[in-house]
Amino acid sequence: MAGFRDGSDGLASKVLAAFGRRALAAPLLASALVLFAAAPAASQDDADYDDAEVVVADGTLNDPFEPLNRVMFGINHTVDILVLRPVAVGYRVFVPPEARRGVSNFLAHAYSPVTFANAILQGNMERAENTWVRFWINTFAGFGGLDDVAARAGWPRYYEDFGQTLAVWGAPSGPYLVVPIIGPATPRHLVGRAVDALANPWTWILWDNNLWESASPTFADGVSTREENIETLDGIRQSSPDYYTTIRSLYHQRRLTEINNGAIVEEDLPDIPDVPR
Amino acid sequence: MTACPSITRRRVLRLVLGATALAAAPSLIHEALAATPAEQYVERVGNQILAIANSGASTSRKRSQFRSVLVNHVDIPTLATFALGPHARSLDRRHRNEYYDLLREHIADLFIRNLDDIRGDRLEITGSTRRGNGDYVVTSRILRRSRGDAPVNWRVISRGGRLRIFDVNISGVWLAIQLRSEFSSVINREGGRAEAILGYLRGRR
Repeated sequence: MAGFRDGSDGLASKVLAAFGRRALAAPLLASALVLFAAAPAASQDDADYDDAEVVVADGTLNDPFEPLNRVMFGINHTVDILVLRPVAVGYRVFVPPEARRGVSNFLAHAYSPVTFANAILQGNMERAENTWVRFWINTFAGFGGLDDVAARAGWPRYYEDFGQTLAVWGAPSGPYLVVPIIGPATPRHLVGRAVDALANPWTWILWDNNLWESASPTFADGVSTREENIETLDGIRQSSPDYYTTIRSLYHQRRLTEINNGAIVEEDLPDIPDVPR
Repeated sequence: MTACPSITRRRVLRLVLGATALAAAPSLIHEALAATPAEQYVERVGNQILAIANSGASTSRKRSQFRSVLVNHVDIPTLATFALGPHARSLDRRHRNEYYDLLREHIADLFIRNLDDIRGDRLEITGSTRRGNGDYVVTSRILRRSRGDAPVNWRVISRGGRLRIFDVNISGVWLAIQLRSEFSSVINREGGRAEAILGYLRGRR
């Protein structure tokens, strides 16, 4: 589904809205680690999770906490309909497209150090170099990142996070979760988010500011992403037989794509049934 | 004197073999770089779909044209069976043809709903791999001058000596896998009755 921020796992995950990274980073990390330890087995044959085993026999994502997840999903959906979507619509109405694009570019630019660090940790020197070059081109020729000059010059934007790094290192994902405000996640993804939040320079630049100021980049990112996905999510919600299931599947597929940097891993593809003619 | 003719023959043989190899190299390289049948097939069908999306025809005309592409180039029975997952076995044979027709219409509706994502300047094939016997993955991208290129991946299968499209991946999401997840939800909600999918698809028309 196009419309999600380049390489990101879409709105549901982008609505971090952590109300200040420092406030949530530690409990987020602790909760994720507890969930890692407490997660039930993905299959009867193998108690270890990995991304392939997260998909069970009928192709759905293993979701041992589904009843609780559905409650959380309902709460998040209500908050989205009542608060976030109207704010995103207002943002679109009152802010011109060029300014919105500038905001989006600047937020992505500000995230560059995290992408760079994670590319290095994953041993992906090509992406690290690309991010490095992009950062300096856009800083000096792109008005501090407001204009994505680098993309037009042939340096595409990439997105890496510590959750992807953990996956590359072989860490199991853990069960599917729906976290309040944050949305779809796995314990691995949550640990990644917490580490990225602590590693992000903006966390430390705004460390001594009040909660609203330190949360502003997160809030801006959430609104900007939500605005970019208004039609996409509306379409999914209207056309889906079960919005929860659809978002769960989309999250899983998009996350795999991010971890594999867009490459198709043939072994992970399901077998095709042989249908007699 | 006796050694000279051998050396000379050996040298000539090496020269001839070397020359032959040099002459063959461009064609060998060309063969290695030439598109595989699966790539050629995807390029042809993919550009056909792109042309439909880009055309100025009415929505109903585009839908009708895309439906023809589905009939001719998508292995609907295999896709339909896959989308039902473990419930495929329990779907009564009497209902299968109707299910195939309904799924075809459902996919045509999806195409119309996602036209904006599909429009672009040209489809460029970037490579392919052979996953198994008669199972290929072809990678491509839709080139767009006005916005970023969109990666599109195709799963092509060979059935009865004929290539057909089984699945397509746009921006990281495989359609067949997404359908299977959603259909599973519908069927599970109805107590595991596979026939429930017919009611669901009829209701979407």
